[in-house]
Amino acid sequence: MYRYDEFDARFVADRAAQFRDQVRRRLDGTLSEEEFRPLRLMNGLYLQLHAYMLRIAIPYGVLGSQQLRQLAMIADRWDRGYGHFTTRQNIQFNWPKLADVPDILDALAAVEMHAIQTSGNCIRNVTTDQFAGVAADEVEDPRPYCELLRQWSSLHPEFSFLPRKFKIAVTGAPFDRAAVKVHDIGLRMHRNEAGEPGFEVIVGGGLGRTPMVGKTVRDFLPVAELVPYVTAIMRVYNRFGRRDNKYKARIKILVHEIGVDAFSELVEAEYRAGDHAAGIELAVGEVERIAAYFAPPAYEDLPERDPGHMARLFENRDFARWVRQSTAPHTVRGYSIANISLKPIGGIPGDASSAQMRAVADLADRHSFGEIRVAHEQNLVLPNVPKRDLFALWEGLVEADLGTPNLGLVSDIIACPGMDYCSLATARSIPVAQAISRRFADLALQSDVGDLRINISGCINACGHHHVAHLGILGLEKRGVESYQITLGGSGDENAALGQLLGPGFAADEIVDAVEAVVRVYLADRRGPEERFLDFFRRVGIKHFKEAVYVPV
Amino acid sequence: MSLFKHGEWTTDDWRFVADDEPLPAVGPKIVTLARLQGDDGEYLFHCGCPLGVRLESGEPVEALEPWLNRLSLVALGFPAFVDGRAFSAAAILRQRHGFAGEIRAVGNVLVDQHAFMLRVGFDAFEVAEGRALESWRTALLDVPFAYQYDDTASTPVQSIWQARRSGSLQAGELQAAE
Ligand code: SF4
Repeated sequence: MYRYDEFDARFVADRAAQFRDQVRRRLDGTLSEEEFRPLRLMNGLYLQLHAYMLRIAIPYGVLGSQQLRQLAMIADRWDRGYGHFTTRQNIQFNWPKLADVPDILDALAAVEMHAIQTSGNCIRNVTTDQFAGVAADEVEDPRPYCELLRQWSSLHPEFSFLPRKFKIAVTGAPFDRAAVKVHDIGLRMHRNEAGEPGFEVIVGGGLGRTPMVGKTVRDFLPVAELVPYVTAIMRVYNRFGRRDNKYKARIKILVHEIGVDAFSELVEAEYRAGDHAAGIELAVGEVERIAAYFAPPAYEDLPERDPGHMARLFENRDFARWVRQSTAPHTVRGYSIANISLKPIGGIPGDASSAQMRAVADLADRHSFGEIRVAHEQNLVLPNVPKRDLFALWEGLVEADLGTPNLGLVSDIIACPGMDYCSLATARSIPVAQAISRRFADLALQSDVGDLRINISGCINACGHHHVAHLGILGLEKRGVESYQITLGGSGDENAALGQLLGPGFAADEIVDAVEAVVRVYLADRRGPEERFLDFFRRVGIKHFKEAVYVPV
Repeated sequence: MSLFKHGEWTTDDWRFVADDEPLPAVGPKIVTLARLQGDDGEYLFHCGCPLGVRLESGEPVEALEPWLNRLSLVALGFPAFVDGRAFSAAAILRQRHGFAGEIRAVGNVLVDQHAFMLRVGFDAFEVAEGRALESWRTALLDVPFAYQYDDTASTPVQSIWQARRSGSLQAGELQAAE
C-alpha cells in the first residue's frame, strides 16, 4: 500500500498543527462558532445532534493493520470504544471532545492518516473497488490513480470552495463494485484497441434528493491526461455550477440543466485552452512513483486446491457456508479475497468495537500481508488470504463476533446514522436495520432469498444510498411521525438503475412487515432460486409487488 | 480597508470609481466591467494612467479579453467565504492569458483563504479593518507545501510533485525549514 514520503508526512503534520491552533482560538473565544465552522468543516469535524463527530479519511478504503490498531486506540482513548465505517470507505467517531481533536489528528498523522476534506464543499475522499488490485475480473489497478487524485485534490487552491461537495469514484473492473455511475465523476478503466489503459469519464451521477445516473463525457481518456482533464471538469463546475440553491448545487444539476452535450463542450473547450504538457509529464512520473507502492506482495506459489482447506469445507458446514458467502476469487492462484461482515444479526451496520478492530488487524497480519480494505457496503475485506489459512481466519473472526456469513444477503444492510446521530434526519434508520436483520435472522432463509440488498436512509439526502438498493427504504416524517417509503429495483453496478416507488409509506411498526411481504412475494413467485430478486423485479415490474403488498383491508 | 501585498501592509494608490462617480482626471483607477464595456471604454485608457477592472464573481473573465493587455490590475470580488468562483477566474487569467498585472482580492477577503488565493495567482488583498491583521503575515507559512503543480503562479508555496521530480528539496532542507 501507499506509504508517505517526507513531503506527505510534513503536509499532514503541518495541517494538524494549523488546526490545533484554530481549536485553541475557538476554545479561548478568539474565534466564534460561526468563524470556526468553515475551518472545522475543512478538517472533517461536524457538529451532530448530541456531540461533535470526526470523520477520518481512509483513502480509497485501503488500511494497514497498524493504522487499524491506531483507530482502535483512538476509539478507546477519546471516544466510546467503537467506530463507524461509512458508505464512503471512511470511519467516523461519534463522541470526540473538541479539546481532544488536535491530539486525535496527531495520532492519525503518526500513522499516515488525516481527516482533510472529509466534509465541506470540496473534493472528498476518492473511493474505489474494495477488491482493487486483487480482483480476478480486473482490467487495470485503479489504486495508483486514486492516490494521484488524492494528492492532486488535497487542499486544491482552486477547488476548495465549490458550489457543493464533490465525490469521485474509480473502478478498474467491468463488474462495478464502486458505483461509479452515481458519483459526481465516475471513472471506469478499460483498454482501447491498441491495448492502452484509459478511463471512461462519467459525470453528473448522484443520489440525494434528485437521484441521477451519470452521463459519459469521454469514452476513452488516456491515463496520462487524467489530472488536466479532471481539472477542466472541476473548473467548469466551479464557475457554472449553481450557487443560489444548495439543493441544486451538485454537478448533476448543471449537467442536467444545460444538457450533457453542452456540458461536455464546455469541458473540452476548457481542456483545449490549456497547455498541459508539463503537467502531464509530472503526473505520469508521479503515477510511476506511486505505482511502485502497489506492487504485489510476496505471494507464495500455492496449489489451486489446498487439501487441508478442502477437508475443512467438507467437515464443517458453518465454515463452508461462510466461505461460500464471504470469499471472492483472487487473481493469484491459491489465494482468496475474504470479506468480513460488520452486520451481525441485530447489530448496527458498519460499527466495529476497538476489540474487533484489533482482532481484524491481528488477523490481517497473520493471513493477509497486514492489509485491510473498507467496502462501501460498510464491511471490511482482507484482500490477500491463502486458501490454506481460511479456516484459521474464520475461527478468529467467529471469536471476535465477526463471522456472520451474511455478505450480500438480506441482513447485510447499508444504513445511514439517521435520527440516532444526524441532525438532518427525519426518521431513525439504525433501529429499522436492526429490526429487519432480526426478522431475517434465520440463515437458511437468508440464503434461500439470496442476493437482495437493502439500503436505508434517514432523510431525503440519501446517505444510505437507498435509490440504488434492490430494496430501498427512505425514512420521512409525516405529521410528526416517521413514515418509511420503499423503492424496488435499484442497482448501483454497471447496469445502474434507480429504484421505483412501491407506494404510500409505512409506519415505524409496519415497515418490517412490509419488507417481509416484499420478500415473500419474491419467494412465492420467482421461477426458482436461480432467478435473483433484481431479475425477478425486472421481469414482473413494480405493479406485481404493489398488488401483493397493499392488500385491501 | 487595508491592503496586503507581497507579505506587507501597504498604502493603496488605486482608487475604485463606482459607476455613478465621475472619473478622476489622473491617478490609477479601478472601474466596473459595465463601465469598461460602456461608452467610456476606450476613453478610460486615454489619460495614460494605469487602469484596473473590478469583476464580480458571476461575471465571466472572458469578457476582459479585448482589454487584457492594457489592464494593469484585475480586482476579483469575493461575495462570501463559500463562493469560490474568483479562484477559477484568477487561475484562468494567469494560466491561460498569462496576465502579469496585479490580481487583487476584494470583498469578503479572509485570512483562512489567503494561501489558496496566493496559489491561484492573487497578489494583493483588500482586507476589512479589524480582521486580525497580524495573522496575515503568519498564516502563509502554516502549510508551506502543496501537491498541485502550476508553472505560472507566483506562489511562495512549493509544489511537492515538482520537488520530488527535481529532488531539489531534500529531507535535510525540510528539517531546516522548520
Ligand atoms: S440520509 Fe439524512 S439522516 Fe441519513 S445521514 Fe444523511 S443526512 Fe443524516
